[in-house]
Amino acid sequence: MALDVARQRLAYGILLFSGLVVLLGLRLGELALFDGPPQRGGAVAAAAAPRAEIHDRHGMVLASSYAAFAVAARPFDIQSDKAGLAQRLALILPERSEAAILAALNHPGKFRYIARRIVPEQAQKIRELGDPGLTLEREAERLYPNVRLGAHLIGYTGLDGTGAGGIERALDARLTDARREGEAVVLAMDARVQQALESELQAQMTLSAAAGAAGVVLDVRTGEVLAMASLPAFNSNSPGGLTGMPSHMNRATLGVYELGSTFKPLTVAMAMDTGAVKSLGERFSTAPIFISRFRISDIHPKPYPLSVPEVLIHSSNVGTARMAERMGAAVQKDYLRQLGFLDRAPGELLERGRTLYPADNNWGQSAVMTVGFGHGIAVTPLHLASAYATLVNGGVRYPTTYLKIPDGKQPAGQRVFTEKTSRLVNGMLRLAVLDGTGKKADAEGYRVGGKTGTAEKVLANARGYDRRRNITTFAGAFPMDDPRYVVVTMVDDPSSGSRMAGSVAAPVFKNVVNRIAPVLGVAPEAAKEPDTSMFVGLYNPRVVR
Amino acid sequence: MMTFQTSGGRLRFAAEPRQKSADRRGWAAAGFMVAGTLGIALASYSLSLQVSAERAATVTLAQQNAALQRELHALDAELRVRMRLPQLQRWNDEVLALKPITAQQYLANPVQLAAYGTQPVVTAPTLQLTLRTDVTARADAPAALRTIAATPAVPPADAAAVRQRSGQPAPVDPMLLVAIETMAQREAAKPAGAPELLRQIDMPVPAAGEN
Repeated sequence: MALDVARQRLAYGILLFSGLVVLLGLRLGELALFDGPPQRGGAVAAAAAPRAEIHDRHGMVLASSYAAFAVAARPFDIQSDKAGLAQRLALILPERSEAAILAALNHPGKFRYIARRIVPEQAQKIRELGDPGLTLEREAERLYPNVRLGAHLIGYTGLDGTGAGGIERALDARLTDARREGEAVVLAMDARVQQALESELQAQMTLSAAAGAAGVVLDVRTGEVLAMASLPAFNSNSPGGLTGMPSHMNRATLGVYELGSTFKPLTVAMAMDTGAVKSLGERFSTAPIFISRFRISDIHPKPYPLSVPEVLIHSSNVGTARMAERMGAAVQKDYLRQLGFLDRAPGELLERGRTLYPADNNWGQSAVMTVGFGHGIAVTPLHLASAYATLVNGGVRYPTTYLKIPDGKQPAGQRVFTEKTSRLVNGMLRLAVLDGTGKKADAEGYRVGGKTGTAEKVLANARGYDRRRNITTFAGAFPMDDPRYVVVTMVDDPSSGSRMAGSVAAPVFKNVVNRIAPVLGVAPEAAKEPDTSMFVGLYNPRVVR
Repeated sequence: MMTFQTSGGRLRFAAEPRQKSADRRGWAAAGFMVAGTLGIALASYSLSLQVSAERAATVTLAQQNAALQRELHALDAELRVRMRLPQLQRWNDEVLALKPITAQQYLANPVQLAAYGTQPVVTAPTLQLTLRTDVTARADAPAALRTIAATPAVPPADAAAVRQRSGQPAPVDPMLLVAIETMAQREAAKPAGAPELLRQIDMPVPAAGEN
């Protein structure tokens, strides 16, 4: 009986193990025949972008990543004839010369890149060449669909894929954060506004044979930078060259310039705010001022004392200097500090210029006067735009940002000027366009206000000014009955035709406003004008505007 | 009950007859168990096969999705590059010549829109068609057209009379109709040398062979 049981158990055991062996055999056969090599889902993982995209405020893609290849040579492993291989590679890579490819193939080292950022089709053709000495490496590349548009603001990435300029550099950690890879960085930039600004600046730059140009469009209620241009620009897709090249220098945030008369409205506002000027009807002599070794005079002096609005309308250096003199250095410096002129350029970018201004022990009466009309202080166009936004929006300074502020969220601001001062200066800025030097900036129907600024460039040896080379600027806002946007246009060293801001920078401002106002939802209304009734009798309106 | 018996010096199993049926039942039970085990194993294996097939299909689908996603990404990038703003601006500068709206073109309210309807109706100027008589017909033009080109319909001396009659319907010259019809047929028969888009937007279409 016991043996029977043992035999039964033995039989079951044999059967069980035989079954297991059969099952294992079947499974092995299945794996070998049907499943192929083990899958790791690599294809799915490869579809994800390694760096977050950058969008404009309306979702337009400004920068995205795509999978590209780099082809490299291991010269010692190359089996085929190098000259012939170089010829075949040159046909696949038209952007590289045959000589350069051959040089890479003959490189004495172990490894040499032949080309980077090549597309998959080219990589496949190179793979089909079948030479073991050619290596293809996958690498993520950045694509900037709009090429040069907003190049200084968006920036670019280096060969190692890290941000090397602009937002790409400033927000590198955020853009490469694996947890937020699928979440785009949304800029405050409106690509349409950026395009309008850049194309108008470029047109004027070409027309006046200028060395460069810069421009900023700022939302005065939020401090958002809707557009920022610096020309000449570079192609973000292949930035190349050195970062010190003129095309890589951000003139809007890194370059500092004496922006001249565009400072005058700020000085007038400071004087009115502090009570240094008590009435709009106060008169200021236009007689030249002699102080230490300087002579301050007007370019076109009027033969009569000027009222406060007239000082701005006729861009009187003497009148503004007198107002600054009344305030004194401490007050002037305090306002300049509140407006951000004594700090680096605002915003997230790391390319931020340090402003130049008199040293504390040298900020005497003459410095107060010259700074009052924009000389002796060098700032970036972005500084100026931020200060104008503060001036026209009711007197509150909002932090400047390149990132979009969510709709309905109002950033915390700091009051610099009173609302009354802001309203009065807005009216004067409108008059400076209608009756002053900025009439070529008057975009019909958009109630533009602003101020021209023409300043001589500093000599290369920094010993004085070059009378033949100017920096022309126009800083203004629209619509002046309820300012919403500030635009600053600057043309550097125009050498053909007029070299005055009223003829160079002001027309750019007008063209830009004509193009961006409909996009930004500002309707042209000829009948709607800011209130300038308080200036009646204080200036002589132009007979034919 | 089995016992060991010797037969010719060899040891062999010997089952008692009454136990044969019990043994048979035992073997049958074992057979059933083996069959059951095999059945279950086969069923499990087929299930495993199904799962494996489903998994393989899922992986294939994921791969297809990833490939499509990459393709979409590439196409999207290409589209964005092609419609980049500087390119649109270039087209506008060179071809479209669109300009921003001016203050005069902007209508702030329906009243201004309605005011457009009250504009004084301008009487359209009377159109007058005349034939140029100083043009020599091309050699390949139909004979009828050459005749018209060579023979002034109205003598120049009677131009004043033509102006006076311009208010009245002019009699149609049947030869002119024939010439127009011939030209239209030739035009229709001509192979399309220019893209259809150029024809649609009414641009000058270069004839075949011309530069």
